[in-house]
Amino acid sequence: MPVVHDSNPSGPENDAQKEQDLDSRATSKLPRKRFFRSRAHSNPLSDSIMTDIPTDPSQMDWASHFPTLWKANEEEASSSGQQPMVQFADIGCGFGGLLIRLATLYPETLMVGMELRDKVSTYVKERVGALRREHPGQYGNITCVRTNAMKYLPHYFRKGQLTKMFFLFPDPHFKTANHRRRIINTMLITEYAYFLAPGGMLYTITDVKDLGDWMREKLEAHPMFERISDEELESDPASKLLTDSSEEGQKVARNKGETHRAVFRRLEKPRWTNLSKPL
Amino acid sequence: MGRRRRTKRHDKFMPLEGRSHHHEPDSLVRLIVSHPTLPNLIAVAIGPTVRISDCSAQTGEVTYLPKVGSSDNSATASVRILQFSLEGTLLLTGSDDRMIALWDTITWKCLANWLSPKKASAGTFTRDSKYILWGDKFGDILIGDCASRNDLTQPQHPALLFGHLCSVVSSISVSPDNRFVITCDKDRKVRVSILPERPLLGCVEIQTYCLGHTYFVSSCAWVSAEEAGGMARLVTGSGDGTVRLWDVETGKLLDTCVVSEPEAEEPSLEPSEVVSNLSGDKMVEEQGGKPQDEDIEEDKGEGVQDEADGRSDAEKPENDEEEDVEEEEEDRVAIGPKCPPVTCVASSRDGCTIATLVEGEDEVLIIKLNTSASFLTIAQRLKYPGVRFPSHALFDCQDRLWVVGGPPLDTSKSAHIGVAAASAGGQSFVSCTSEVVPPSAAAALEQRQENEEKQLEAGALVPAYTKQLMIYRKRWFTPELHDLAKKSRRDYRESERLRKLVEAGAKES
Repeated sequence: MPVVHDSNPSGPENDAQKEQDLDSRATSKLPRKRFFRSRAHSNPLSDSIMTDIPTDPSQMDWASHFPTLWKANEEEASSSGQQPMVQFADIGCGFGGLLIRLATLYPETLMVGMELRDKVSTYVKERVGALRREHPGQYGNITCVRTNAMKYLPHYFRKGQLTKMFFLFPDPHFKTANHRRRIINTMLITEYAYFLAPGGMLYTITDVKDLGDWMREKLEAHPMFERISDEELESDPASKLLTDSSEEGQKVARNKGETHRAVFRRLEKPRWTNLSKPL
Repeated sequence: MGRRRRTKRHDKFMPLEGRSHHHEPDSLVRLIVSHPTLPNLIAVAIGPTVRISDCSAQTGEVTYLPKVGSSDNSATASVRILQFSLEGTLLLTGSDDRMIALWDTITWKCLANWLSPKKASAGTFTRDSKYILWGDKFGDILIGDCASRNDLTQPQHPALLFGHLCSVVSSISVSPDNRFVITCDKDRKVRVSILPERPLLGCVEIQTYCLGHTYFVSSCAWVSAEEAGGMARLVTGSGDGTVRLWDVETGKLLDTCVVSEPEAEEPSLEPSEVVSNLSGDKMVEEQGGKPQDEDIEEDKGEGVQDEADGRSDAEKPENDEEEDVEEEEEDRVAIGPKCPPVTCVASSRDGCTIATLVEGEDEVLIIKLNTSASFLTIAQRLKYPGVRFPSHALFDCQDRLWVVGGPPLDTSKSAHIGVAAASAGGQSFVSCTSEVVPPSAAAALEQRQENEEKQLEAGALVPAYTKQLMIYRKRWFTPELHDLAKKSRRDYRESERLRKLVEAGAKES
């Protein structure tokens, strides 16, 4: 995702001005985005974060991410015998805009954002912490995890655990040689079908037409997914948030770009009937 | 979009031999397979050559498989895949010139071949012998139809079954009931996928993941036990020094067996002692092998060697010869558990014995599965006289254990072959190479070289079979430096400021 510019119009900073800002705005409770600015591209094939990955989903410490909700659910869990589960995942959540809008829309659902860049995921965690302090009782159901979603998703989620997956404005990887690194490609769609429960929804949106066509084609060609029409999406509150809830979406709206949205449903069984050629 | 670069052509369009090699070549790997119905017919692959011999024929005749590739490096391309089909009518080979070939086992003629888009790293047949599957170094699993025949100068293009993302596929296997395909990769994952009815259209359903290893997974094998209903369970070996038992339908880890521990700092603690402490009273010493003292001395030599190397497998002696290796290669240090990795697991036909090979050790660990197929115990440490550094093992149709090893030199063309059969009591294995393999066949198959044997004796060689599966970091970028760099980042200071604000707020209220 390209870098999102902070709204501060003061231009490039030198040390003196930085000190001034620190003094004058030192009381600001929300994290200031300019300190968390990061490059748009982070290498998804690197092995540098292999040490922080949980061995398997049962080893993942969700309690530290959802301090209030997890405990509450544990009491229910021990009485009803069911474990609380994360149900929504925002892959490549960036600065967290979508998650924050979704938190109030679905207050009972646990949701998590996966972000590869260290600084940006720290920003989201700080922002969620600040929001929880300012609005007690709210925002306890969102968090951010710094991880490589292309490689390590099976370590976090069980089969059929998720009911919604979001891919907002993913990295286009324009060069043909890099197409295999796109977050929506045939190989990975099979893995996403593993995490989504039957009937689960997969949301994609982008402003790059080439990428939008590519994602739609790959998902339509995959036997485990079928496209949801725009009429059906009218009744879904989450799909309305796709265009302008994330920082990237707001930037596209500012620049008056067009967006290409495609939402798919995960089927119960693969539909092989109308396929005669390989994937 | 940036300006198009006019000058540099993409590597893909250059002929194979002209491609720049950005990494050093992989270590020499030796493979051994035995015909599923003829117990004495074995095939051994050492680097680029494949030698086949029928040991019962007493003539010492060896057949060499010809090369089918036409590119310049076909003659030196190492063979990475060697498998017989279930009935033994077909033999699958895959080599580093990206050629996958299917051979007829009676005439040893090549029946069909495929050109894989990337170098293959592991391969197998489906249980009905209708398809061949292989995994490559970039994580793709490809499939070919065994019934197809083509003009060998025009290799076929395979179809894509599924893929792991950019992760070397170290092992691929099909479950005995032909329902699941198991793939193991460098990223600690063991993926169980459902083999569809028409595999050529691709595989879209994943059954489960078997997660539990903490380092790359190097090999897998199938075991079963009568009392568990004969249901097959999966055993995997990994670079974290463990062998684990899984139920593939649910992905549940049933048992973990630690077979190698990290090497201790002082060379006085030999790996053999550490393993004996672990397995406790279950261990049975091998009968008729070398006396214990000699074992300890050899292991000590290997232990000291590894210390001296500092576990940086990238810095092998041949770096001096190769000028075109990037400078980065010499600055790389392997990260991960510092124990010798498990290189191979093989299971017997009756499903309750597993042979495990650990890199750098001469001894083969025999692990037994209990009758309800729920846990593993180390039963024996078997040493083959005359076989050093075994890299691949296999049980033949009479449940004799074959191993192949040899000097871990990349230019070597020799091999050490050993075979052991279960003793009369059935409780342990005894080496019987001289009875099964006649000296003429042994000489033709092995082709030992004097200078290599001398180097082995001197303890100058260290195997690095799993070099391609390990993870490296730059030597200068230590974890301490990483933490220091992180602390001086702007976002860290901002986080600190917020934390102090929160604490101050909490104190006030």
